[in-house]
This record gives sequence, C-alpha cells and structure tokens, in this order.
Amino acid sequence: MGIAKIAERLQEILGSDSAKRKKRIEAIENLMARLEKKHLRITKKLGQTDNKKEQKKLKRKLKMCNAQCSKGKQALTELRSSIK
Amino acid sequence: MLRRILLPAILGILAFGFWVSPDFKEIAAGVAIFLFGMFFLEDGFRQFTGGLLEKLLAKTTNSLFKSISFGVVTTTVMQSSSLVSVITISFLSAGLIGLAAGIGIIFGANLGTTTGAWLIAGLGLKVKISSYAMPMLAFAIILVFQKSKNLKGIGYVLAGLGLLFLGIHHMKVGFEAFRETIDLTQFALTGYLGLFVFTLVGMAATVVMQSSHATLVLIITALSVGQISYENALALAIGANIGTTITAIIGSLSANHMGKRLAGAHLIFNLVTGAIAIALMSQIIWLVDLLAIQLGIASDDYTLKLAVFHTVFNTIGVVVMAPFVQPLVRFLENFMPAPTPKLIEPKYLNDSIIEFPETLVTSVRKEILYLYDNALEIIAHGLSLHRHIIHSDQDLAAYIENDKEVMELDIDALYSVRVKSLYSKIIEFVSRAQSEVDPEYANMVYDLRSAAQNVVHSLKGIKHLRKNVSTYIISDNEEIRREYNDYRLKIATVLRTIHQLREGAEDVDIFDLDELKNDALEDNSMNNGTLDNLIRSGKITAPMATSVMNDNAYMEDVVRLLADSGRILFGEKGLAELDAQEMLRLDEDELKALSKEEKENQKAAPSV
Repeated sequence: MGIAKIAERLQEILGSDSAKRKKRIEAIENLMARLEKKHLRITKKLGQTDNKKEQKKLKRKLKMCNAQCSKGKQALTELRSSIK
Repeated sequence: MLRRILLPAILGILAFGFWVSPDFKEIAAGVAIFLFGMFFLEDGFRQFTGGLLEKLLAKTTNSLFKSISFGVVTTTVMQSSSLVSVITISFLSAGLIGLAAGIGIIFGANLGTTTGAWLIAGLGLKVKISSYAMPMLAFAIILVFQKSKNLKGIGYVLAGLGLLFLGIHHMKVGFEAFRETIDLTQFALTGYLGLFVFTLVGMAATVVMQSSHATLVLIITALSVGQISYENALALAIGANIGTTITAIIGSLSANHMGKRLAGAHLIFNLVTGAIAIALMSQIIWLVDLLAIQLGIASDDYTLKLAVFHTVFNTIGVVVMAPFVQPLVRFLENFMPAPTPKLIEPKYLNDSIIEFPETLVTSVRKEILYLYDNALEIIAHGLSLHRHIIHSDQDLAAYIENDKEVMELDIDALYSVRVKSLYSKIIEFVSRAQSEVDPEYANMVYDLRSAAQNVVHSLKGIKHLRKNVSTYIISDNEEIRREYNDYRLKIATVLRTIHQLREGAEDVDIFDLDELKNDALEDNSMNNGTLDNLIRSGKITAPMATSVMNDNAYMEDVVRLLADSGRILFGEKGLAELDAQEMLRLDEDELKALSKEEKENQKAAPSV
C-alpha cells in the first residue's frame, strides 16, 4: 500500500469512532509484535548460515520486514495522535 | 444384493474349477496373465504419450488407408491379430489414437492375419510367440527400473507383450485337451446347413483356443489329410474370423469405454464380413478359383486355396466396411457413451446462510478452500509434483532437481469435473449474496471471490506451462532442465507456504507470500541476465529460449495469483485485523523499489 493509499485509509479510519480506532491500533500492534519476532528469527538465521544465496534472501527478508515495521510505526503515530 | 454375491460366487466357481481340473487352472492362469499384460501395455504406452511413439502413430494412422496399412504390417510381423487388437485397445485407452484410426488398424489386422494362413499352408511355418515371452520379461524388468521415461515405457510394453504371449500360451496349453477331443470328420455336412454349422464350429473352436491361428492350423491340417471337405473348411475359416473377436472383447474388459468401442467395432466388422462371405459363398469360391489359376496354384491344392479364400473374404470385408467407418464411429459412440464424470458440487453454500453475514463469509471461505483443494491436485500434478512432497518438510529444491518423472493427466478433463462447475456455482452464489449484505461484508465476500478467480486463473497458467515442463524436465540439456525446475520450485514453494499458513505454522506469515511473489518477479533468468548468457553461449537453442520467455510470464502469473489467493484465504479474518494487514503490506511498487535499491547497492559495493 503506497503512502497516498495509507493517507486515504487513515482518513477513513480517523473519521470513524474512537472505539473502532482503538481496535485498529490493537490490530496493528499485534502485527508489529509478530513482525518484530520475525525480524529476530531472520537475524538469528542470518548469523547461522554460510550459504551466500541464503544470506542474500534473508537480507532481503529483513529489508522487507523493516519497511513493513516503519509503515506500521507511521500508522500507529497517526492513529494515536487522533485519539488524544 | 447381486453385486454382493457376485464376487464370492466367481471366486467359489474358480476355486471349484481349480480343484477338479488342472486344465481349467492353466486356462484361468492364462486369462489372468493376459489381463496383467494388458495393464502393463497400457502403462507402457502412457509413458510414450507426447513422445516419439505418439508422433509415429499420428503419422502412420492419420488417414484410414495408413491405419489399415499399419494394421496389416503389424499383424504380419507379429502374426497375431488378437495381439494387434489388444495393443490397439491400449493405444486408444491411452489416448494415443482416435476411434476411427483404431477401427482402421483393426480392419488392417484382419487382412494381415490372412498372411498366417499363407505361411501355414504354403511354408508350414509358424512363429511361436510364447518362446519370446521369457526373454521379453527378462529384458523388461531391467528397462522398467531405468530412469529414462522412454526406456521405462519400452520396459512396460515389453513386459505387457511378454505377459500377453505367456497368457495366450497358457490358455493354449490348457485347451490342448479340447483340441484333441474335437474330431472334425464327424461334423461333415453339405449345403447351407454345413455352412452355418461349420461357421459355428469354427467360432466355438476359436473361442475355446483363443486364437484363430490355432483354428486355422486345425482346419488346414484336417483339409490336407481329407478329414473335412473344402467347403466345410471355408466355413470353419469364416467362423474362426468371428471367434477371434472374443480375444479383443476379453482385452477390452480392463480397458476404458474407448477400448470397449473398438472391441465392438471388431465384432461388427467380423460379423458383417462373415455374413457377406456366407451370402456370397459360391461367387467367392469362383473368384478364388480364378485367382488360384492366376497365381499358379494347382486346382487340387485346397490348403493354399483356403489361404486365398481367407485373404479374399477379408479384403471384401475391408472394401465394404471402409466407407462406413465414420457412421460406425458415431454408432459406437451412441451405443457405448463415455461415462459421465461426477461433477464436484458446492459443500458449504446454501441460501439460508445469506441472512447471516458472518456465517456467509465463513461458508464462502470454506467453499473456496474446497475449490483450492480441488485445483491444487491439478496444479501439483500439472507440474509433475506430488502434493505430499509439497506439504512435507522435504528439501523441495533437492527433490525437484532429482525428480524426472512426468505425470500423465488431462488438465481440461480434470478442470471440467473438479473445478469448473464448482467455480461457476460459487460465482453465482456470491454475486447473489453480495447484494443482500452490508457493504463491509460484501467487500469481504468480493475479496474471497477474487481468491477463487485467482485459483482458477492460476490453473490456466499451469495448463500453458505444462507442455514445456513435461518436455524439459526430462531433457538432457542441463540448462533448460534447471530453468523449468526453477519454475516448479517457485510455484511449489508458494503452495507449501500456503499450506503452512493453513496449518498455522509459527514461522510463516502472510507477508512471506509477498516475498515469494517478489522473488518470482525479480529473481529469474529473464531479469538477471542468465537467459541472454545461455543464448549467447549456445547452451540453449532458440526455440528453448522462446519457450523460456513465454513460460517465465506464465510462472510469474501463477505465483502472483496463488500468492494473492493465499493472502485472501489465510490472511487476517476480522475487519480491523484485515485493515492492519493491508496497511503494512508492501505493494508491487514498493517491492520493486526495494529490489532496485538492492541492485544499486550491489553495483556500488566494491568488488573483491
């Protein structure tokens, strides 16, 4: 989902009631927690493998994980500030 | 009720027969070995599908004349019309030839079998097929264990032929007692009565001995020593011709409806030919005398004249029946229709759930999972992969690299039975349900419908991929084999990930599907320059390169469609969770941007 789409989706969410927003915050937090665990798992695997191809794959996975986390953080900041 | 008692009754009769008669035991064993031979033959010819034999058969049986010639030549070489009949049934059952071509071969086999009478009468020579059985079986077992598909196929064909020869041999040995007890002189009759009676005797003798050749040996021997009259011998030969169809009918018992149709055609041809021969007996005898003079056969050499008669009346049969091949095909198709396959029906959808949106979404999801399961079998087998391997922990890359077995399947037929009807009913139901529920549920149902659509479209991609996958995974060219195995691996990995998601595996999540999709789009021979190198270095041919270019696109489509359907089917289910998932997902543009960044970093990195 691109930045423009996120902004659009956030606008929709922000327009809804706070209970719904809280529910969405929880859902994102859950996903973020899972992504963090995944990040740890991949990092551990990366430290254990000598296979260059596998390393390349795992590094790519880490990058994707990081990109998803930063999208999550951005969404959480927006949602939390709208509740205050 | 009848079915319940039929099997014990047959087993009981067999056991009683074995107890009272050693001959019966020999005959029953012969029939069993014969049928085993049929199974092996069918397997053998299936191994050739798509290969050399298919092309050879297509070239030699693409017209009626060629089919008839094929039947004449093969029967002359193998000296057994029964064998050619059962082989033709195998060709048909394996889908190597059409019914019209099969009928042509059978017509030709009837002509070819007349060479046997010439050999017996003229040279006293007869090829003893049973003596080939043992070496054939010994060679066969070695070939069956080879990795090469063609060698394996030849092994199965040889094993099948060996068992057929052995089966016929055991039947003949078992019926030896019958042959000794049939005294033909006691049936000497004249006129039409003699004609009918001896035709029936010839039929019965051939049915009992399972070989028209054996009957002809009896007839020719009896004729040469004057035990039977020339006219009675001709009637016996007609009977032998009709009786030989029983071998094809036995052969067709284990074959599909196509095999049964061919056995029907064989029976009709021999009945019509026999009827013509009986009706025009005096005219045919006159023609035989005329030909005998032309061929320099002495007027009292009745054995050779019998051979001429055998050829003449079978030729008349072919000439009369050839124009009616297509009507005969139509008649047989109507008389013996293909069994209607049982279409897969929806399991979870009914109108009562439309009122309950949560239940509706759950039921539609379950139904689409059922559709996915049906499609999965076709997708996996289309790539010549077993589902249990995909769903196991086995190293997929290593397995695929070493696996060179091409699975036989008719994707179109399987699609019609297992997917098409179910899919259309899901679409119809979902379209109706969408208008009845709140927009948020309507959107969820709409997404699920997209998942179903993706599954079906991925099947179409597999259909396109399958031909070259089947050809190249057994190719001797290592590069092209690797390329197509890579396609199999990428698709199989997506299927495995979907399975793991479904099973709730901890270390797999929905975002892994996006990664696999990205892998398929970015890391392939088209994008990383491997293909150009292979073409430049001449490691793959130009046709191979164009196949790769086309099939790479199909592979990408299949991976994308499956990954998207997996995401919808096994992703978050609640509305808030689904929203969160979609917000955090990387879309194709973002994935591409990441890959681009990665490539740029690689270029910028100092080379070691």
